[in-house]
Amino acid sequence: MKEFAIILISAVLVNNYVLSKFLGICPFLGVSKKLDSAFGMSVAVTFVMALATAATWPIYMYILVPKDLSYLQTIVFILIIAALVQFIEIALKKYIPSLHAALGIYLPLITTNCAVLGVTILNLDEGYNFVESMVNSIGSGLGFMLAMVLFSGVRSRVDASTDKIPKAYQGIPITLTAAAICSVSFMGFTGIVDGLFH
Amino acid sequence: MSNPKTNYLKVLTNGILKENPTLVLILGTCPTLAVTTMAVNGIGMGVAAMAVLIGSNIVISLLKKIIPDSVRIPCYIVVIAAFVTIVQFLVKAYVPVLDSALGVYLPLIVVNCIILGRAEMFANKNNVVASALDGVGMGIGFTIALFCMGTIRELAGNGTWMSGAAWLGIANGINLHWDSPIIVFLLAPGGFLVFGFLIAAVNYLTKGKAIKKKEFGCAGCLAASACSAAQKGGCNE
Amino acid sequence: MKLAKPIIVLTLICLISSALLGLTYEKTKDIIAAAELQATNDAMAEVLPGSSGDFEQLDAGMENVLMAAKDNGGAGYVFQVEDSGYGGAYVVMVGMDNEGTITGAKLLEHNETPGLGAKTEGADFTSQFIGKNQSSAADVDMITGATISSSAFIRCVEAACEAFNAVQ
Repeated sequence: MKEFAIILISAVLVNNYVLSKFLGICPFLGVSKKLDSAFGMSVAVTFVMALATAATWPIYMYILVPKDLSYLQTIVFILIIAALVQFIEIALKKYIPSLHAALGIYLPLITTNCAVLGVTILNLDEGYNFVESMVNSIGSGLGFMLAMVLFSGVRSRVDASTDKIPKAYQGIPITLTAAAICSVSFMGFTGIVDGLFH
Repeated sequence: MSNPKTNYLKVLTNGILKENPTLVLILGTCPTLAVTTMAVNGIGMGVAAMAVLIGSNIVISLLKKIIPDSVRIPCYIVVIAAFVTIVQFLVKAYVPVLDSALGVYLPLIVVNCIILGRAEMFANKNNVVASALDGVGMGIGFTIALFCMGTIRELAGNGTWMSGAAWLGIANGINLHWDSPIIVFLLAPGGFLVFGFLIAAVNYLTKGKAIKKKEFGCAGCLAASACSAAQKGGCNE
Repeated sequence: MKLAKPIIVLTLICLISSALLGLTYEKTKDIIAAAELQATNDAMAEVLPGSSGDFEQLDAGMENVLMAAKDNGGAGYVFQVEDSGYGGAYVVMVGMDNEGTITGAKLLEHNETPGLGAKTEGADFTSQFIGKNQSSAADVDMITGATISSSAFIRCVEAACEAFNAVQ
């Protein structure tokens, strides 16, 4: 259990995908204007991350590696993710229309989200087994959610005071500066794993 | 859409200045922030992405009549992923130092929106020569932006410049021998901060005319037409 | 026919891409393997000066010792040890002569904070271990502000010393 706790805490707080690994920056900056869209997007990302890992890990370990085809990793993974996103969209539309109404608009954005492809590749780079990979994926998704939700709060304050900001600094620059400050606060978590478990 | 009088010089310089993918169109933010702790990594990432971009632009332009509209995005992704993997192998084989410096961000060029964006916006509407030049221009623009970011972060954060550039034939670069450089520039917050400053500087110098995207979101994203959410008016709103 | 064309085109593109990738993979895999081997050999030569470059792999029976090797030329031993630093995996290579005196140590892999923990990579820190042995390995100056990374390095060196005793 200790290993899982370490992986989970590292993924959510220490190696936060957005604020320390710079994965998934586009949705972080693009969809974080309102709390509900930030939350919806991160639920969709977490969901796809978990499913993508559940699909790519066995395919890599049991098909690509034994057949000596591991060089197809990138191409196979991105196709699996694209197909998965399509499939989820169709399935949600048909069976859970209420969820589709909430998450549907975010799904197509996820195919080209580097956080999803990133987590599937990093799971293998880190040498995680299947369960560890799933824990890491869900943790990374939750970390993404935490960053998105917190940042949407920060952003609403920033956007409310736009007229007090120098003209050249309005919009994207001030948003990035706010992200930098959020990122500083997450740096406080580095070393927490060592402190808690060693 | 193909214009017989395409101004090739304009196509080439477009990506470097007027539509610089990083600093004007604000695309490909993930690698821009992640790998620019050293100037030389910025060059490495820029050149790797440029190689992929030129290759995918040429192939997609050649295949634009063959690829059916309904499956064009998956086709583009496959072509891009193939080029990324080839570049990855070449880097691993000939510049292993760069491979370990770029890490996971090298395969992640696949999802760099600059590349899919150019395929969708330019390569599938223009001829091969123009598409290749567009790839060169956008690639140079991307490389310059990453190099600037890397230069600022490395100088301020480590007191060095172009260190670790042995594979480029530059021995040791410059070392200012600072006792206590401003480490935060090398860390994640420094990435956001420097990127913000650079965009603000471009904004200021061009009096706000250059920046095409005032806000992040689908409307300004080149891949927007590939994204059904944009058509539904989803995304940011 | 209308439905078949997209599927055929996509399949063809996938097949051609895969074939090209396979070709590149075949062409580059030996070079990649050679480059990786070269990197390991360079690191081994660096931590164990005067080694013959011809190593015999040993088994130290320790979980955190990734590699233990004996120089067939008689210069000594090389160990690769993994521990965890401030930011995650932390891998150190240690060279020792036949008496267990450290001839060199090198940080191979780390995720430490640039400018702080990453300084344990520098020769200023690692050269302190040269000439030390198991009893004196901990007797080095830690890097200010990077105690966790410095201790991770020391733990790795100590584990290498234990591995040395195990394979002796």
